[in-house]
Formats: sequence, C-alpha cells, structure tokens
Amino acid sequence: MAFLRTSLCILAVAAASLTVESVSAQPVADEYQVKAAYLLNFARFVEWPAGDLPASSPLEIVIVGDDSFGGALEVVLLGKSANGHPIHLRHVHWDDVLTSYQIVFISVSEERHLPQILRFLGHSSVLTVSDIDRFALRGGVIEFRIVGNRVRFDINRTSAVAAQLNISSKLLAVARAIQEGSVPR
Amino acid sequence: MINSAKLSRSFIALSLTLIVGSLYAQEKPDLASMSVDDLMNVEVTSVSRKGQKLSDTAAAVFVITQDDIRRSAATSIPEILRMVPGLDVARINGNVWAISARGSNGQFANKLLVMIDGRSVYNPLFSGVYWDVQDTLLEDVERIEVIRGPGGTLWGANAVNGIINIITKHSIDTQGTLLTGSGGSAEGVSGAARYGGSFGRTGFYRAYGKSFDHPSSIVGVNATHDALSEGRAGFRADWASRGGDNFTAQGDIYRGTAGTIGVLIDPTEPFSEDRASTSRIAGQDLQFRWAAIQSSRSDTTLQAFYDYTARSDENLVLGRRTFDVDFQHHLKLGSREDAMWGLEYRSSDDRANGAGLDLIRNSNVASIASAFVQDDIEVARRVHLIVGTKVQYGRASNLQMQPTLRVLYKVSERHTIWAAATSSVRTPDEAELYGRIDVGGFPDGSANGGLIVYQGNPELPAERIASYEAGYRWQLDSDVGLDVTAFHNQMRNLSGSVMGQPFRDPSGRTIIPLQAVMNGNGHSHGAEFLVTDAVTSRWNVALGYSFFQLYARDHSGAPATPDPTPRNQLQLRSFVRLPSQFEIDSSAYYVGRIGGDIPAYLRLDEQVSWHAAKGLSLSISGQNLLNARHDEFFGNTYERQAETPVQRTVNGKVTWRF
Repeated sequence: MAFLRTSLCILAVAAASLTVESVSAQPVADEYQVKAAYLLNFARFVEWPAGDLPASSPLEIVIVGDDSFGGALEVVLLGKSANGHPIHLRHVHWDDVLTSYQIVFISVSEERHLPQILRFLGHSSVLTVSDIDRFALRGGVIEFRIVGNRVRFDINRTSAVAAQLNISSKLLAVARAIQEGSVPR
Repeated sequence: MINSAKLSRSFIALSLTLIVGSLYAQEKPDLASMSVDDLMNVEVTSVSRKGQKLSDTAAAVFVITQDDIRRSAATSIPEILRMVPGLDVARINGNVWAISARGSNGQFANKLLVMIDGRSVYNPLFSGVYWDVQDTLLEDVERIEVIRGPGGTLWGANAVNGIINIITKHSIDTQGTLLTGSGGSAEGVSGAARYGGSFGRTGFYRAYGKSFDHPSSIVGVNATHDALSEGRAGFRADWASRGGDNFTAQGDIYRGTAGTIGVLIDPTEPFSEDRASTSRIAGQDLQFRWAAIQSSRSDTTLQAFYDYTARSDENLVLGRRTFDVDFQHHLKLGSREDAMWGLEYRSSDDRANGAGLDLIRNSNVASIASAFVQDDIEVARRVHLIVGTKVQYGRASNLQMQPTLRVLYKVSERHTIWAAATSSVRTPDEAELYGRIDVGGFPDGSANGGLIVYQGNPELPAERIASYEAGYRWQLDSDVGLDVTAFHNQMRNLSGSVMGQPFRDPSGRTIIPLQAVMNGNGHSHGAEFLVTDAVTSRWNVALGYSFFQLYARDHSGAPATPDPTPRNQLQLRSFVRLPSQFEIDSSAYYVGRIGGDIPAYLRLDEQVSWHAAKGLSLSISGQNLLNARHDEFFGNTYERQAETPVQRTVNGKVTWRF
C-alpha cells in the first residue's frame, strides 16, 4: 500500500509539472539557438540532387565568417542526421571553395563579401542561408528575419530552383516568398 | 517490502530526473526536436545587429529605401525628399528647390550638407545645393540617409541642420538590363537605360544613361524660364582583391539647359529688370574608393573624388572644380569601445563672373584640411556614450572645433532613448567673404544713378550653433514603430547685412554699401514625430508631424527677417498592396504658411503601379492632385529665381528589366 501511495504521489507531481509546462508562456530561447534549430529543419526538409548528395553520404553544413551561434550549432546539430545523411559541421573562410557543401550559412561579418560568395556559388546545389539584410532579395535562398522578437524566414524560390533544390511545401508554406520579378532589385 | 522500497526509491529517482528534465526543458526548450511551426513561435532574447543599424544611432535619422523611392510619385531626388518628416522641401520653380531642415531654408540653404556616395555637392560659393543637377538613375539608389540636426563632428562645417547622403547600389545589385520610359502633362518625356555585367572573378559593373526634357511651367512671354533638359551618363564598378579588399570606381557626366530668370540691376530706370535666359549646365565627377579590412577589429576606407560643375548664361558664369581625398579608420578597442578617426583634404577653385557680380580676393583656390575622432563607449550595459570632435582648418575660417557629446540608452531591444549636445559651425561662403553684388538701383539726382551694393567681408567669423537634442524610438519590427525628436538650437554670429555710409565711386555714382556682418543671435526649437504602422498585412501607413519656431535678432536687438520655415507640417502616407501585383501609394502633405508670403497648402500625390509580368512594371502617378496650382516658396535675391506655382501633373511610366 505504501508503495502505491508513493508512486501515485510521484505521478501527481509529474503530472503537475507537465501541466505547468503546457500552460506557461511561450518558450523563450536565444536567437541563435533557434536559428541553429531551423538549420536542422532546413537539412531535413530540403532535397538535394542525388548526384550531389548520394544516399547516406554526409550532409555538410558550413559557417562562413564569425560564428554568432556561440556553440549552439554544435549542441543542436552534432550526432543528428537528416534523411539518412549524418550531419557534419565546419567553419570556413569566405574565399574557400564552397560549392561542395550542402548548406552554407553566411555570417553578417561577411556582408562585404556577399557578392563574391554568391558569385562563386553560381548555380551549384548549395542552400545558402544568412541573416544579412536583403539576403534573399540579393540572390540568397533563405534569409532569417526577426519579426516581433521571433525568428522568421524568407525564401527566394527563384534562387532555390536555380540551385536545383527541392524545398518541402512544409517550409514554403510558412516562409515569406521573395520573387525577384515582383520586387525590383 | 524491501524490494518494493528499493523499487520505489529508484522510481522516485527516475521521476525526479524526469521532473528536473522537464523543468530544464521549460527554461531551455529542446530546440533540436522542434518543428518549423514550433520554432516560429519561440520568442528570442536577443536581436542580431545587422551591420551598423542606423536605428541605433544617437541622432534623428530617417532612411528612404529603394522601395520608398519606387512607391513614391516623385520623379527627382528633391521631390523624393518630401517624405522625410522634419525636412522642409519646397519647389521654387520647375528647376529650383529650397530644401533644409530646422530652419534657414532657401534656394541657397546654407546649413544642410548633401552628398552622393560621400561626394559633397554643397556649393561653397553661394552656399546651398543646385538640386537641378543632383541626379542619377533613381532605380540604382540603394537608400537615402537623412540626418536632421548637427553632423559636423563627422561630416564637417555646414552640416549644422542636417545631412543628406544619397547612396547608390553596389553593382552586383544592378545586374542585367533596365529600360524605363515616362511621359506626363508637366514632366515632358524622359527615358533611361542601364546595363550591368561582370568582369574577372569578383568584379561587377554597370553603366547607365538617362535624359529628360521638362517643359517650362509658364507659357507666354518668358516661355522657357523654368524648363529643364538634361542628358546624363555614368558608370560604377566594384571588385575585390583575393585578400578581401573592396574597390569601387564610379563616375558621371551631364550636360543640359535650365531656364532661368536673372534680375539685371540697373542704376537708371527701370533699376531692375527680369531677364529670361537659358543656362547651360554641365558637370562631371570621378570617384575611387578602397575599403580594406585588417581584422575583425579594424577596417579602413580611402576615398578620392574629382568633381566639376558649371553653369552659364549671358548674365552669369559659374564654375567649380573640387578635388578631395578622405581617409577613415574604424577600430574596436577592448570589448566596449568602437572608435573612428579620419583625415580629409579638399581643394577647390572656382570662377564667378557676371553683370553686377564680382569677387574681390587674392586667389580663387580654397583648401580645407580637417581631422575627426569619435569614440562610442559602452559605459554600462546598454548605455553608450559617444564623444567626438572635428577640427577643420580653412583659409578664411581658421581653426574650427566641432565637438559633440551623445548618450544612447537601449532600454530594451525595442526602445531607445538618446540625447546629444553639439557645437557646430557654418563657415561663410565666398560671396559673404569676397562678394561685390549689385542688389538694387535708385535715382540719386544725377545722370549716373545710384547703386546698392552688397559687400562681403573677409574678416567674417563663422556662425556658431549649439544644439541640444533628445529622442525616443520604439520599433516593433520593420513596419511598426514610433520616432520622436525634440531640439533646441542656440545661434551666434548669424549672417546678415547692415547699410553703410553712402559714398561716390570714381565715376561719380552714389553707392550705398550693404555690408556683410555676422552679428545676429537667436534660438530655435522644434519637434519631429513619426509613427509607422501595418494596418493589415497589405496596408502600411506612416504619419509624420513637425513643429518649428525660430527667433533671431541683430546686434541692435531688432527682430531679423522671419525664417522661411512653416511652423507646422503634417504628412500621411499610405501603401496598399492589392492582389494581382497592384500597388496604390498615396502621400498627403499639409504645409503651414511661410511668413505672410506663402499661404498654407495641402498637397496630395498618388501612384498606382502594376507589376504586369516578371520584370515589367507600369505605373501612373499624379502630383498635387487637390488643386490646379499652389505656391511653395519665394525667389531669392542674389541670383533671383522667380517662383512659379506647382501645378497638377499626371505622369505614366514603364519599367522593364531583363
């Protein structure tokens, strides 16, 4: 009987804590932890051409320039996989050859080199992501924006098509679409 | 029982882990397992700095974006500036504008500095800016930064009431072909073409040409008097070295004609006569910029430009060549300091000849050397102290200091409070120093007739203005915000003129000298408000209001000529996006009366655009739709430009990119 009472008691506490969690205010996190989590989702909801990313080969995510994530990327991405591809992470210089990676995150520190970076990448199958202002408008694929203290993103579908990336409708549905035809550059 | 006790203890331990785990997750949600939909609702605690955000500056800043330009009915840079709350923009006639902030407006507004990609277009001869030749392909403008209030610490003398910096796009953003054509009731016809391409591994360029032919708004006897025709071409190239240094070269050339009315002063009847003529206007500029990054804590910019501008008609010939070299070094010191310093040297020579205009000076070459230093110190969390000064040495103005002290308090990511105290100078222009200008004739009883002659004074001191400003900014996102600024200016050595002792010149003519003095004192104050809101996801509005008052007296205590700035100005702008790629954009302006001369007016500008297909846009716009015509400003006495009313105009435009 004593055992039963104790476990009932514990279950009640556990249930109470779950309730507290579900009624509490919206979750709060560091901006770059959220952006790191988005990158994981991008890896999972984007399809690369099979020729560029053979089955079970690693999916490489690189950070160009200063790492604003402060370790959050490692926490969120290490040991994860996306559609059977183990995720690898590395830091590179803007002048390195970037065309063999799957996701290239361009740090704000590299804004001055953005024209060169995008030009080097050309139409290779790379998902470019950045929080540089007007990144999607300038030819990048996904741009993070802050809207009312929440992280949202824009997708330039023209750039995605040019890079032969197949972006899941799940992502497209929640992103703001940037079309080069409608917004003059 | 023992077994069950053991079991229950381990069960308790497991449950505690679960509870602690869930509590921990409450503080730090397991983001890795969150879906995109969940992530969209996570509130974030810090907002990244995107480069140097202008909204973080301790000054009254307004930025006109390319989108604002595209969605405005305006077709020229001075007309685009109307949308800036707190800026006074008035059209004197079809090719002359009066633009200033916080007072001292006029054709030769002398306290506003204007730059195009860092190249100063302020005219040191009569002060002011010839707005009719400040132009480029509007589609290639990245943004226009407008700072109301003193910026002399960074930008130098004459940036007392504000700075306008027109920044053109990097050439990567202008790749491909752009063709535009437009025509309208009062704007005549215009067309432009631009092509952008690339070179080497990292180089991009563009070249453009544009031309327009605005007919005169007055038909009849002086049929050409405010017409404006211009042809213009230019280029920009941007490239980078492998080491990461960025280079830019750019240049422009223009030729055209502008209808003018000059006032010919005559010592005999009828003493003064309006003469319509056509000025030939010409200019070219060439600029080179080298930006290098030594490390994440240090970057430098070296810039040099050459600028030539000239205008001439049968009464007046004006020309100026300027050469300028400027070096800036931006560095981070420790974790709390962000410093900038720079050196600049500018040399210019001018010529000015005309009937009734003479400049009595040893040399027509003027050189200015200056240095500035500014440090932004984070003295406490979210509190920045910005201290700096400019030191300038010029031929006539000797050594001038322009210190500033600013405080910025970022209450939160959305709220900013700032305050500033600045001492700035307005150096006398060449006409005030050396000018001999006939301003009136009168009968003196003899056959010669008499003349009133404005006489410059090479000993004039600089005007000195102490400014105190404070502001509050709230920004929810890029669409919703509030910006409030209040200011008080204390002015010494305001320029004016006093009537001297009449004398007879060698030819026996009576001359009444009007001597340039800087003996006025005064103060001004005002406030500027801007509210932006997204009413729906497709409808944005902006409401602006500005208030201004100026009191000035000369040395004798007599009130000076009233400042030609309206006391109240109100604007409401609305931007609507409709389905099928239609946009309707409206701007309504109320401008209070200016003295007793210009009554208050209400002005409505409207534009409907249709992005018909990829790269193809059509728009129709109307300016001053509420009334057939209204006056906005009056002419000037030096090189008088007769004012003409602003008319209702309708304009259509086609833009095609491929």
